[in-house]
Amino acid sequence: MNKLQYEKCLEEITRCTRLYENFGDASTFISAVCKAAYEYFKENPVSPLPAYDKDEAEKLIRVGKSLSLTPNLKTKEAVGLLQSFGRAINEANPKLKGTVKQINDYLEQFLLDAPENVSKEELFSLRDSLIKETELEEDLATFLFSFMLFSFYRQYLQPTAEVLRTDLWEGGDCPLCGVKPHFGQLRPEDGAKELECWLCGTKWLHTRIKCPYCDNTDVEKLGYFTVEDNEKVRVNYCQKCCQYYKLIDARKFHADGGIVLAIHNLVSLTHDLLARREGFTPGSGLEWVNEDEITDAQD
Amino acid sequence: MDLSRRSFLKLAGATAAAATLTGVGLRKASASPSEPLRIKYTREYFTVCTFCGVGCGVICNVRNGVIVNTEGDPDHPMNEGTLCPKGVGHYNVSYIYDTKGNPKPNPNRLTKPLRRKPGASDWEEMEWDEALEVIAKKFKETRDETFIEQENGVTVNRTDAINWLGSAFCNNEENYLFKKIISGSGIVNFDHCARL
Repeated sequence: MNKLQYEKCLEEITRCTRLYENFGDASTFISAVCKAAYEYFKENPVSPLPAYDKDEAEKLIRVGKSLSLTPNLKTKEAVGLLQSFGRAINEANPKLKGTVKQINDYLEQFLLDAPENVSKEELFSLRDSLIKETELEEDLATFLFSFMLFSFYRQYLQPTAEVLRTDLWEGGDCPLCGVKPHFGQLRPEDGAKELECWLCGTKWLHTRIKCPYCDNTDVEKLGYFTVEDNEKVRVNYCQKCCQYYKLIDARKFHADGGIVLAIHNLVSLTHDLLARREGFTPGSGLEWVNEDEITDAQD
Repeated sequence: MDLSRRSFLKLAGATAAAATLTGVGLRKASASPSEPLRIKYTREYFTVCTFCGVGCGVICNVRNGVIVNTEGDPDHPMNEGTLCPKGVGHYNVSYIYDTKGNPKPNPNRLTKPLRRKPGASDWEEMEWDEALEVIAKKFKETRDETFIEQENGVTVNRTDAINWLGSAFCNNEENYLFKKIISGSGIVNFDHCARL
């Protein structure tokens, strides 16, 4: 995360505090995590990967194939960033000191046996192990790992992102890294559905009434729900594949120069919980809700 | 027995606090069962604006069978999400607002053809088949009674008794066919609402 991105995140956090009632308490933590990422990369700068051949990339995109770029990360760097997030957790809630120590110990142990480079999948296995072996719960684990991965991939893939013809892409998955999106926005200027990759930050337009996961276009099986008194966030669902994603309706508020959707995603986790309780699963595979939170409603 | 370190720690009663997003301030509590949030399910349907021959794409948001909003379809090649002032007002074809600002069904919306019989003061509803039948009959009668073949020795084949008004509600193909009927019937007084 560079200085500009960090400042943009802080701006967005301020905006979200104004826009959403329940974000006040979390803003300190999110700001601290953003600051941790900014300071980490200031001390440990990352070299972006060379850009993919522009013509080759266009050829793939034109035939509907994602570049699916998910290079391995340096294990030490990935763990280092996670540990710096741990410090932000400590600041936000000193009661979690013991848990953070537990997590750090586990990460140190992991570093001893792990290879020099790890894949995204291996990092997700690490996440699952942390949930199993420590007091880290699913939702916070998703946040820490997705934000860590996003911080690296966004920088690694920046040169390719700059030459990528996203305007030719009609798929539901990310044209650059191939993962499935979790959120997007309805653009303020025309209401078009613009999905954003949670992993590399790529944005692309997708047909408004179409499921990005199973390509379903049956209007009788597609829809969205909102929560009373909050039309800013929509949960779009597909009854064919029973999956959901969130759309921020950017027409509902004033935002110059674009919005940082990753922050809005955090503000609207209530919607993830409601979607899970309604029986939908996240099409992105990112689980933002703990099992006990889902079952609580059925008690 | 598959005993993870976490389970072991729990059993030993030596657990640290569970690290959740709620624990760092990101509350999802407003979705708790004690204060349930009311969910509003909505479906989106495509349609085409009928106000003019451009045929802009429209998305209708429907909640419990009732249109709650209409907007330009951003994926439609004609309008790319935009709508003209008439198109924006699509919602008000079906619903108007009462004095308190609440929407109510538009009583002026025509859903069936209306007829006011000669000498009558009120309009009455009729079926489409009957309406088309009456219109065709009157049209033929009037045209036959008033048709002029020759005027001052010149063949004119026209009727001055019928005026035809085209509609921007109709698409280009329909208006093309109307013009065929107009010319074939000898109607010389015709216009289109777009000029009014």
